[in-house]
Formats: sequence, structure tokens, C-alpha cells
Amino acid sequence: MRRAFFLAAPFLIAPAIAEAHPHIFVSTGVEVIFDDQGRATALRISWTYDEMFSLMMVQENGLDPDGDNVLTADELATLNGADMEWDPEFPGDTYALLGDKPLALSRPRDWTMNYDGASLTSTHLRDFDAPLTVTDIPLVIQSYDPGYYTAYTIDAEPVLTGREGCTAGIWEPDRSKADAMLDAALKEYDGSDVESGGFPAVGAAYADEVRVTCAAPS
Amino acid sequence: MRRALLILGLVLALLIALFWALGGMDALAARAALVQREVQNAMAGALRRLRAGDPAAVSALMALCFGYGFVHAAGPGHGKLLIGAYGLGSRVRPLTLAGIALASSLAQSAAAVALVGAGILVLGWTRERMTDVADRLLEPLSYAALAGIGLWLVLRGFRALPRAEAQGHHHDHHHHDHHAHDHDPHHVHDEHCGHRHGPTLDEVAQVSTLRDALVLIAGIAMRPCTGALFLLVLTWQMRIFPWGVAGTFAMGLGTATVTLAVAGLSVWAREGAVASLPGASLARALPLAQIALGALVVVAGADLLWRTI
Repeated sequence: MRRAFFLAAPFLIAPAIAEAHPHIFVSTGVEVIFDDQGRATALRISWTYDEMFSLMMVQENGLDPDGDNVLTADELATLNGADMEWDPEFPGDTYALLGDKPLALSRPRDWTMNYDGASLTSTHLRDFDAPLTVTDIPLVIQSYDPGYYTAYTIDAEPVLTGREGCTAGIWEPDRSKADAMLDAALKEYDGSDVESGGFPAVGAAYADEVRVTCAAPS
Repeated sequence: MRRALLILGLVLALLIALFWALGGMDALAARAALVQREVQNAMAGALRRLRAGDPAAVSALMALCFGYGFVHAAGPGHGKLLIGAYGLGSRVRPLTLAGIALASSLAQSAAAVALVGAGILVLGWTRERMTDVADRLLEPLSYAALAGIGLWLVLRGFRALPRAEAQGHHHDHHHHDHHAHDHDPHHVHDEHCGHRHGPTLDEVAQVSTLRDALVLIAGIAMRPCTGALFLLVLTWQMRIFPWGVAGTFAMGLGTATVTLAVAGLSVWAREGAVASLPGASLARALPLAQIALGALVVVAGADLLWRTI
């Protein structure tokens, strides 16, 4: 009898995973820009925000007072760069690797902002440290928030600008593997990492990524 | 027949427990996160149409809010934990527990409206300030309250224990024939209050149920959900605040459907356990269950609190 109640216990225990759900959803677009020698020099990242967050951004800045869902050029100008005010240590939710070697990316530049009446879309450029020769070792671009407050997905086909002979594909994460990692991280988590919202950095496991490979120059 | 039906409830609860323990709920939660994006987009669309004066958007918004509340409650949460623990461990009447479940969900909506109303009107807070208060102050506070209520359940279980022991010894036959809530009040009155001129046990039970209800409702309502806060601030800025309030209560009703199910299942499972029990040990079993479940709530509350601070 007593045992029956103890058996019922898991029914009541709250697994912390359900507490970890994202509040902002972003659809990421990736463009790789090559120079005239066929080396990758920069990434253009576009972020399309979910309609709820977009509406909040518009309303909080007191824009679109007539409610026609059209933003004037001036109104767009006030929003432009609002998502580019990064703390110095913020890596920008975009991560690049050559094979499994992480690559440094510059601070963002040349940002833009657009509104289609429902969603805000911003773009920005980030440079590689040095021009990059891409071969059959893939250039990997990941889009994720380590704290998983924002959920990024890569939905649009990646764009390759400035050279032929390369292919790009989108890779989705293994969700069950990612769930297992999150579980393990939560079990070890001691609450010390207050900086990133007090949550273990497991966003990478949930990240969509773009992989670019190029044929060897002939 | 009735007994078999009751025991079925216990079996059902255990099966759900097993499903939960084996990670079935994690998969549901992951799917809920995927749905959330679509719901958020649709909700924003309904809000834009509402501001543009489209009356059809009202029902769309209410349906979305109800669904949002339901999906959010489908995951595990402190409200269901408290209702479940209380329902399993004490012989609260099904209707009373259902009332507590419904009231606590609506009180949670009211708390969100109060926080946003006070935040905007009185204190001039921004959305970020408000969610900050909810995340950094109310969330840990609600977990502390969770642990506190767990402790209260444990203590109550211990207090009921010696009395139950006495009852168990003297009234084996009685328990065998009737369920505890069918007690003839005078019978009990003679046994326990014979020398005092205090309130009858029934009156005491009523008062303690009311007090229990208030404690539970307050503990659950303390933490307003982020989605409701977003909706309220947004509708305030869009000058359609009444619809935001209505939507927040629709969310509360959506949440209530799940807490009501938990309430019903916990009563069913508890009665099943009671029915499968030889009469003699019944009086001891419930306080013991209450102690065990209360301890579980303390652990869960302390664990969640530890994570947030």
C-alpha cells in the first residue's frame, strides 16, 4: 500500500526540462560570401523574428500608431540595429567551424531591418579573420542561443555568393540525442552560471547548421 | 464492481506515472515547443486583426489563448504537483478539489492581470522589467512556497498519525463498513471531542478545507506565466487591453482543464488505494501517504528553487 504511493511519486515529480522552453523564435538565413579568388570572406546572416516578438518590438517602440501594419522608412530606421547592440562578450548566436575547428567571426556590420506587416527581418554581415579556402572539409555555420531562450531554425536554402562549384545543405539536430544531453546537463547543473540566465548551455545540441563544401580548384 | 472501478483509477495513475518516468512527457514537451511557434504567430495575427477592428478575431484569440494555456499546462508544473499531492494524500471531496483546481488557475490569471496592471499603471514598468520581476522574484518565491506547502503537508500527515492510530484500533469494524467520509459525526465527536465544548469535527473539517484551499490557491497563483504577461503588455500598448484580460483568463481556463484532470485522477487513484486496502490500515495509510507526498513536494520545490537562485 505504502509502496503504491511511492510508485505514484514519479507522476508528480516535475522534470526540469519542461521549464526550459524558448520564448522567441527566429528563422535564420545564411549567405556565404566568397572573394574573387574563391575564398570565403564573410557571412550574411538574416534573422526573421516570430510574429509575436515582432509585434512587441513594433509596439514597444511606439511605432505603427495607425495600426495599418506598415512601417515608414523613418520607423524602420529607429528599429534598425536594435538587435545589434551586443555586449562585448556576446558571440552573436552564430558559430562557424571549419570541420570541427571553431572560426572567429567579427562584430556585426552593415545591418538592415525590414517589416513585411507581420514579421521583422534583420540582416548583418560578419567577417572571417582571414579569407578561408573551403574544400571537402565542410565550412559549418550553426545558429543557436546557448541558453535556448531564443529558438533558431534554418529554414531557407543557404545562399553562396561569388563562386561556383560549392554545395550547401542544412542539417537538423538529432533531437533525442539533444534531449539526452539536456537531461545530463541538468543533472550536473549546480546553479552557478547565473550569467546566461541560470541555465546550462545546451543550445548547440539543438542547433540547425549549414554545411558548405567546395570542389578542389582545378 | 465499484471496488474494481476504483482500483482501475489507481492502476491508471500508476501507468501514467510510468509513462512520465520513462520520459514520455519529455517528448510531449518537445512537441509543444514546436507548436508554440505556430501558436505565437497565430496569436499575433489575431491581435493585429483585432486592432484593425475585425470582430471575428475575438473568437480566434480566445481559442488560441485557451490552447496556449492547455499546451503549457500539459507539461509538468507546480500547480499540478500541489493539486495531485493534496488530492492523493487527504480525503478531500472530488468537487472541492475540482473547485480548488479551477480557482487556482483563474487566480493565476488574475495575478498576471494584477501584476501588469500595477506594473504599468502605478509603477511605469516596461515589459522587460515585468518579466524580470516574474522570473527573478516571483518564480523563486513560488518555489519556496511550494516547498513550504510540502512541509505543511508533511506536518499535517504527522499530526494526523497518532489520532489515526487510535481510530484504527478502536474502529476496525466501522472502517470496514463505511468509507471515512461517511462517518457519523456524533460517533467521532464522542470519541475525540467528548470532553471539550469546541466546534464539531465537521465544522473543523470545513474550516480546514477552506484554509487548505486558500493556501493551495495562493501557492499556485503566485507565479504568473510569461505568455500571459506578454499578451497583457502587448494589448495594453495596442489599446485593446480588455481583450488581453479576457485572453489571459482563457489561458487560465485552458490550464484548468489539465489541473482538473489531475484533480480527478488523484481522487480516483486515492479512492482506488483505499478500496484495495484492508480497513484496519486505512487510517494510517492516508497520513503516511500525505507525509510521503509532502516530502516529495518539498524536494521538488527545493530543487526548483536551487535551480533558479
